[in-house]
Amino acid sequence: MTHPDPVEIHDHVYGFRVSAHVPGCPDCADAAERLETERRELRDALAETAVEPPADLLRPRRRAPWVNLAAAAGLLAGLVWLLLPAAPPIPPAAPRADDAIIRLIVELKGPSPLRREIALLALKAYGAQAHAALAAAGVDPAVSAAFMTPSAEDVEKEKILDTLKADYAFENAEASRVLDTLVADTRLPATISDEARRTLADRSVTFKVKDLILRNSLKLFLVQFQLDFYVLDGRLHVGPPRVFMTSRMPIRVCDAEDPGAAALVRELGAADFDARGRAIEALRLLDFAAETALWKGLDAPDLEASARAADLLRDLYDPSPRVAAVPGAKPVDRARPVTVSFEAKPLPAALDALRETLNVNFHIYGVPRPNDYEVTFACREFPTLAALRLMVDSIQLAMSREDGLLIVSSPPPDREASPEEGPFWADPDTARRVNAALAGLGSPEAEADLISRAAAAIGPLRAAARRLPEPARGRARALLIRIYKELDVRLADDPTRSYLASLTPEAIARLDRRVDVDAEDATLPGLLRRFGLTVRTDQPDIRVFTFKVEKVSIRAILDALTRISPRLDWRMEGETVVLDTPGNTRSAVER
Amino acid sequence: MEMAVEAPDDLRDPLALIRRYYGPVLGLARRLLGSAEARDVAQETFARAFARIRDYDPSQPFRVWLFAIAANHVRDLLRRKRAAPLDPDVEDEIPDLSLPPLNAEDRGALLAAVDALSPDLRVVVLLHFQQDLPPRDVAQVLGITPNAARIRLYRALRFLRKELS
Repeated sequence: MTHPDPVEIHDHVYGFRVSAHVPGCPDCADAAERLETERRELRDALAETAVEPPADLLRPRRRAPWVNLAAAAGLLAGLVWLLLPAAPPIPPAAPRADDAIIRLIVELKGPSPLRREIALLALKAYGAQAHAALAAAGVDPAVSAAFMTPSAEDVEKEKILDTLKADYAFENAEASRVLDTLVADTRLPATISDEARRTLADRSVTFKVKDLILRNSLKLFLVQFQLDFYVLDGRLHVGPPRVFMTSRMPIRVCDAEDPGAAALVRELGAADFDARGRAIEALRLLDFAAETALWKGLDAPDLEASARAADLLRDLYDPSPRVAAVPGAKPVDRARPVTVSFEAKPLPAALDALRETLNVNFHIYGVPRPNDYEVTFACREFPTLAALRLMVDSIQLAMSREDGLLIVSSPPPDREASPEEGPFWADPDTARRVNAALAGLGSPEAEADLISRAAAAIGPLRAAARRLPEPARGRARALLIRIYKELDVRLADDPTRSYLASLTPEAIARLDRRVDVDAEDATLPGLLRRFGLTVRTDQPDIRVFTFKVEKVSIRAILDALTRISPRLDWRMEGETVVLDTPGNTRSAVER
Repeated sequence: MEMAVEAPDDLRDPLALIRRYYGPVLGLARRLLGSAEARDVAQETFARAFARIRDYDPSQPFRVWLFAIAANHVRDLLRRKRAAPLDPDVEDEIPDLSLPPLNAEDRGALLAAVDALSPDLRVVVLLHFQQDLPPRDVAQVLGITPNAARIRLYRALRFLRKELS
């Protein structure tokens, strides 16, 4: 008799596949019984003793910690749905934005004035998307109304004002009566605010218009009283001008709560001034990775520690853009010709000389001993930016530009000098995608998405490059470099860099070769041919250059000398460098 | 096969649902993440479940849906910690199951061996043996095929037998 293999007996015991053989075969039935015993013992050994849910999960606490609030918030949302099935549904929000909003609403309804204040600030940062949840949770209607924005129906209704035309000829008429007439002509249900009524009270106006659409008539009349109108919730509202909230979401560089955040929050109450300062700075850097700990910090018995946690939370929920102007930045006149001659000149001294000549600000960043870098570079009537590129490349540093400030840094180019810091907020779609991409650093799709959202991704990526563990940190740095290259093009209206798509590993190796150049009225094609490259160009206006530099990469020469007027771009076709206009290059690469 | 007969869940009574499932969710999370985070996971699981109760398909057991939320949350936490590979390539081959069944008398040693399993295997063991979910439901909780659940279960068994032999 042939017995089944152990898999068949396992499948029989675990119910994957019933065996006809096993029950009827004493040996196999015995084996199955032993497996059943094993299964039972495993079940018994792993069985948990009954655990009662904590009381705070079943009953809202006065000061529930963050996680408990999540549970309480969930219960609230569940109960709202169960008890009020006809209530307007909470619109689908970005992942976790809905959870965060519900947590904040629970705080908003809590007893602590401080927590309520911060929760309201945070909800305002999330903006319009919080309105539905606020309304469903039954918070003060005056609060939730501030989050309301015109719906698609409202926008349609407001368009009626563009279709109605009327003539008005009021002379020394009561302003309130003029407004009432205009509002009545809109045929929309209307609310005129008390402030508008007060502003118009006892005022006389002369208001004459002919064949004007109603929208413009209303605008024209109201603007003289610093009033405005909008359609919201199906009604025409007249009152002070109102800026509607937009929806935002935070971009979370590190999604998990930082394990050290709680200890840092405790340090906020340290007696030592320096320790407190270090804790504040560290928590600020953690931004949303310290959010939970900071909320818990609001309950600290030390009032000063609690106040500092509150301040840090206020900063966290400030969604204003984080890109500040670089102090002292001046526009770079990229094409201005420069004549210099440096022989083993220390980098800071070389940059100082250029600073005086060009009136440009430089910043050396992340270069440990700048004086150890000696510049040997000479040029005559050479474009400024091209000279700088060649000079910096020859000492194997990188140069980047930020609002006119030229940053010389160790490669890869690092923008740490910029005052960009978190927290980072963006529109929900962008935030959702950047968050997803940050969580999935390493996948080509995620990285392509980050590059396409470069402007929103740079800050979070820089933070990721500092905070995340390897290999995510390395990927973040590499992505930053790629984005900077792309942005550099876009910001400066430089060539398309379409060549990036045309580079093969062989071409890269050839172009990254470092060479010494001593050029006198040389053309770019001539220079390239000098280094063994085949060049093709139909561009008649090829300029001549005089410069001398050592150990510069051929790619830097191409970059530097095509990014001047008249602008060229380049691409590789096999082993041939093709110099062409940016438009032609883009078309060729796309083909 | 032993079948547990359970009273149907009353979705209109969230507190009863919490009382019924808090312990199982906590037990699952504790073995996957440790005691420190388990309580947060359990509470977050209920928060998410009630916030998204409209997504629940009543034709499925509530606890399967709830465990799926818990497992997803645990998976997120593990991914953020980058603590362990979450979805290693599942071997297509059934492992060698010729080792004799383990002896689970030493509960401490068994729990240590379970804790030594990789998270993707441990969760299968816990859902099946601790939570008494049939393999089909284990697959549904984890969003994998029944065959993948089967292979993971057998890989885990082989590991435990070797550890405890």
